[in-house]
Amino acid sequence: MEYRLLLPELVLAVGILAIILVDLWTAVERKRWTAFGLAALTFGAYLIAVTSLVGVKEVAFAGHLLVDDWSTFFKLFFGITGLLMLLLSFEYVKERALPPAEFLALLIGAYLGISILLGSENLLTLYIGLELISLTSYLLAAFLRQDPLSTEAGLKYFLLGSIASAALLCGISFLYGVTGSLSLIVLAQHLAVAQGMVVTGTILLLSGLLFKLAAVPFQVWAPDALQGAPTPITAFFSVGAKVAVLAFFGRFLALFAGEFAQEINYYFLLIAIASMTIGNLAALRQTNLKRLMAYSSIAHVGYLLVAFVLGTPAAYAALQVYVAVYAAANLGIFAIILWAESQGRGLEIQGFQGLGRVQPLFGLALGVFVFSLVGIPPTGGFMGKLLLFMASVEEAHYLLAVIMVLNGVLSVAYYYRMLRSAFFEEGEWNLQEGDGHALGAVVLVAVVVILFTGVWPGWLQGLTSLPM
Amino acid sequence: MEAYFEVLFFMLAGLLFYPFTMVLARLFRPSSPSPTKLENYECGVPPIGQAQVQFHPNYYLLALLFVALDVEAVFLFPWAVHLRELGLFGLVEMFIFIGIIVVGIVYAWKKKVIQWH
Repeated sequence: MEYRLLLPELVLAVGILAIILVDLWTAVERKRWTAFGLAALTFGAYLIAVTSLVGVKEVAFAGHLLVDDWSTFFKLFFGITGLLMLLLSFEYVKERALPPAEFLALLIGAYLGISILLGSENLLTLYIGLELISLTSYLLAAFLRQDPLSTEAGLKYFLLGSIASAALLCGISFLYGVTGSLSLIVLAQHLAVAQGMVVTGTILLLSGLLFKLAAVPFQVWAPDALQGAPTPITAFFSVGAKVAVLAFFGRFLALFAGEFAQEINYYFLLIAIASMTIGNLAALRQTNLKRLMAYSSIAHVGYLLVAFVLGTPAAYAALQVYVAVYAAANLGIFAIILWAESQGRGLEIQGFQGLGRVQPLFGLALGVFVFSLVGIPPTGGFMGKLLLFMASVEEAHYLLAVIMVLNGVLSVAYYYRMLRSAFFEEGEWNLQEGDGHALGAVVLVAVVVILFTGVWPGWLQGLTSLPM
Repeated sequence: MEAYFEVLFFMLAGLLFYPFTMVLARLFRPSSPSPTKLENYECGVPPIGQAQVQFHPNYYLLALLFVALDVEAVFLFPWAVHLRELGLFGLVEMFIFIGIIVVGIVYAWKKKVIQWH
């Protein structure tokens, strides 16, 4: 049955409807527990549904949906980040008195879009997935309705995002006009020839996708949107849609061949170098933690795009390791930011002052995350960077490798400021009642993933070939 | 560069289409202006006052609900025409679709969107 392949997406869709419906008949004081419980069930069921597809390689629904190891890996990844997102937002929703059911329905909606995007084998499916992510993201960015920054974030993201969607659609229509098909398999036959309409269409399509990645020169929306959005959503933005689009690139860019492939490679090389350099340089001057993390994620997207410049199996394997570790470190840092925020410490970098003394475990974890983002052994971030570095040396991209290392050094400067604040500066903390257990759990999972990957990165590839 | 001639053609055609049709219409249509033609059309009722007034925000929510039902109708018509070929599978699928839209309406109902405050 074809529907078996669609099971993960169906689970998410049913979960959204269930959360909205059940919430209507739930008493106010139990709304949060009910909605989060249902959401946890949804993501749990999603993970089970995805694991049942491990090892399957099939195309279904007239070439609209593809299930293979690559998409299954990322679906597993998103199932786990989904559960972590629930832990991240559990206390936040209560503190800010946000409606839990609507918040979670939109969040799961974004995950549904991601899941569709990961399995798309057709540009139409791609667009539906991407638009589902975008529309829910606009709403989530503006979810703090009373906060002008949040409204601004939503509006900016919406306006610029619509232009990106328009460019994407224009590109798709060009490609359809030339090839008469939206299927990636049919398109692949035309992508070897660098014909005018094909090139224009492809570049418009890629621009729309690179916008979602916030790669330079499409990064302008990211700092504002990530700063204004509710903090758990900022964490989601820094891993969610970006990783999904990267995963799609892994499939899409493999279609190019010949002369045109080299041309596209060249563009990606420029974008990758520009993203990591500009992201790191701009991060140097940030004092707001969310803005700093926004620029840091722009820089990391640059590193990740290197995998597509190389295009070798080794580079793709490095991408998987890098993505998992990057997501773990990011979600972990955001858990600590959220905890500091809930203690009334604000979102400036000074908010971390004295963290190492009042909460040594979080301080230590912050050290692990920062080490991982910079790429210092024995963390997973080091492994990710090392694998990418080796892959680029293998392909004789020496200059690229040197630029990557230099950028790593550059990034130490701003990540270090977080550590200095946490360990070498004193701050006033009035520890308030309120359990940080949910956030602590995220930090724990992130630390375990980072350290484990630092020792044995191979387990990530093993995920998709588990004997089920 | 010739490879990009088609792209240029598309851009120019897109830019020129609007002025071209407007000028063409101007050349061929009869011109008989009257004050009635300048009025706003509001279902045949003579308009009263200004069009730029503040609306009750409930109109907006009702319009959203209307869109939900409207979209449903758009999909129902072609489905009804082909129901015989689609068979039982199509019937079940359409009821699932209607069910999803009903969830939206039930949500609005419970949130008291339909009540006029």
